[in-house]
Amino acid sequence: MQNILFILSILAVKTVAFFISFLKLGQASNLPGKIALKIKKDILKQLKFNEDLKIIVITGTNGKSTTSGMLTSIFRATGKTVITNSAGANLLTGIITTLCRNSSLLGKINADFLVLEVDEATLKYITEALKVDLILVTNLFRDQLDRFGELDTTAKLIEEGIKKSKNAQIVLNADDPRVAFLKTETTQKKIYYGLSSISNDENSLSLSEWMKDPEEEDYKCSHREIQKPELNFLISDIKTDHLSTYFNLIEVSNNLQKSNFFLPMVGIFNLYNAASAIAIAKTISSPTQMQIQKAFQAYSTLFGRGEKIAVKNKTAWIYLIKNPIGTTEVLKTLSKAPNARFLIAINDNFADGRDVSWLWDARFELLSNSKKEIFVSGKRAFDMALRLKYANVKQDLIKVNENIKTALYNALNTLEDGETLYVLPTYTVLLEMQRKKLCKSVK
Amino acid sequence: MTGKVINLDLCYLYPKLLNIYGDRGNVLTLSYRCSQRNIGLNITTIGIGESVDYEKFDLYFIGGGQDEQQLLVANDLQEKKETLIKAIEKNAIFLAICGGYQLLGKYYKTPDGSELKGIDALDLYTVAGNKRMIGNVLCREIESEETLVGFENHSGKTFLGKSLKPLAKVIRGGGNNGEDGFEGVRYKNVFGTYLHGSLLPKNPFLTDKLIKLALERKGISAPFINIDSSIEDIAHKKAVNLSY
Repeated sequence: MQNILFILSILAVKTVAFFISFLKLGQASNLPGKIALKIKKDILKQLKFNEDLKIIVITGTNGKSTTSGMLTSIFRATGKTVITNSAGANLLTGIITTLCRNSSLLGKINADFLVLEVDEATLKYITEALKVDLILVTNLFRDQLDRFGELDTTAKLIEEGIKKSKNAQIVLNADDPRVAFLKTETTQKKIYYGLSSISNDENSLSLSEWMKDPEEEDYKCSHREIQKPELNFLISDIKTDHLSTYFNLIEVSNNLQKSNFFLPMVGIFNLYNAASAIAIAKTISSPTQMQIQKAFQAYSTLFGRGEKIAVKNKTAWIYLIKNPIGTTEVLKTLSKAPNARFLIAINDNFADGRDVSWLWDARFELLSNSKKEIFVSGKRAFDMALRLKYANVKQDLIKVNENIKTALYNALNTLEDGETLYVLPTYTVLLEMQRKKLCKSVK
Repeated sequence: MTGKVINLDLCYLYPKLLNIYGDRGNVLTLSYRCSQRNIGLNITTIGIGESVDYEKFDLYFIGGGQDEQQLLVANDLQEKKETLIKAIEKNAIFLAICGGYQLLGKYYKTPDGSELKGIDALDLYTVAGNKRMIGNVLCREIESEETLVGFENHSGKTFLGKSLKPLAKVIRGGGNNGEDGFEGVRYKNVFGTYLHGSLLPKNPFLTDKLIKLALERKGISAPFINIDSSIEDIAHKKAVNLSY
């Protein structure tokens, strides 16, 4: 009977997912898993993986999708097979959907790697049910505070999850004190990546500044004089322009071997994502510098983090925004780009974070010298308009339209020759844009 | 206005430690709406170990933080206790949000039963609850009967002593404790509340009230200039209609 329920639940996922895709009802990333969970509560524990499959779990507030995408791309460049929840479906139901869609009817899964991005609160359910080989914690920023209350709570949720994978290797961002000092088990090997402190690069100071809350007391104060941990993977010699990033990664355990990389992406956050993907790939497998480099070039950013899109016959760039630090970083980069125009779209659905207070912590003042219209949209468009007003953007330059389609077309219509539109949506606005087919990716 | 320069002094307490819910938006809003009226708002930030000159400041602002930061602040506030109570008793304007609001009271009782001392400037106390109140709040300020909108996110339940009046009556949301239907506190010129969002940008009448009170207290009787609040008013109206 139990076996029948198990097979039935897998069948349900496959059937529901098929119909959702067939009828173009959406991405089919959560509902099938939800139904399967109803039929068979411990479905995850029942799945059977081939013995040499390695399970990698990626969690943290920012960069989960991007890092998973980069890592998957690296593994594939080395000719390995990877199963991953690339639709950004990182809750239990989404992960079940991913796994069942990739399993046989008897629940057998065959691949070299399973790369899962996992929501912080979901982590413990995954580490309990699956034999995880490696966990990465990217960072712990002020993101969706209204979901878990506060960052300390988020840290505790992650620690609970880590605890359940006694033999996993734990890869941690050494430049984020909240991550670097997460509690781990004595049986777990810790691997740290971060900026080289010996680097005399001009950029490096501002980079490590970025990893902290700008308003928070520094490393020493808030964590009482704890030393930054010793790094296993060091990022150094960073050079950036507004289109790409060049850096070196030094592998301490491998005779300080230094490899040079070129990342066709901007933003310090993407640099950290890339460094963590390399650290994992090198820890668990042995990709060459060439294969990694090829993977970065092949990788097109998941879910719009710095993605080029086509709308009608014009092109625009999308940068997902969701918390003050990430947003400030995007604004710092884009406000320097020549002939930039902006459309900022804010929703307050659960996945965006229902509290829009964070808008007031992001440095929209970087746009205060704008002489061109700034378009705002989304359910909380007027909150955004207000934020711009108090950032000293002239009121008559703020164009509000809550409907994203109208706002996007209005913005594109006013573009002059040589100008580029940058769209800064929160998560569910981006989903809406994809669902309404307002944009398609340009490679 | 006769070209005479008007200046107000604001003391921004612990901006580096208590900063998690867009609280700087409140200070930004006070500053903006002062400057629109040719009032200079001088902002002085005060952190751990720095002393407060209570005769200097017209307005005080304190925000909310996380447990660890709140603990550091609570300890340091004991050093500033006397001066802050003097300021409050001399009718200084005080806006305290969330954690800062709790610390103006007698104590905060944590889930393990230990007590975090407040400065006992106001007759109120807070106990940790087992359910977090999170959502869009709508309430009505008792003094003006104007609506107030904001977002609450707290598990502490605050109870006012008999001598104290709440700031507002809750229409939607948890408020002080999720039980008595009231939100915040109003004592002399102290406004304590759980609302952020940020609070002041979408409640321009409250911002203006704080500025007016500060001017009055200083004996400045220049006519109060109305400024364009069209975006503020729409954002307020939209927030009135949000769901919890």
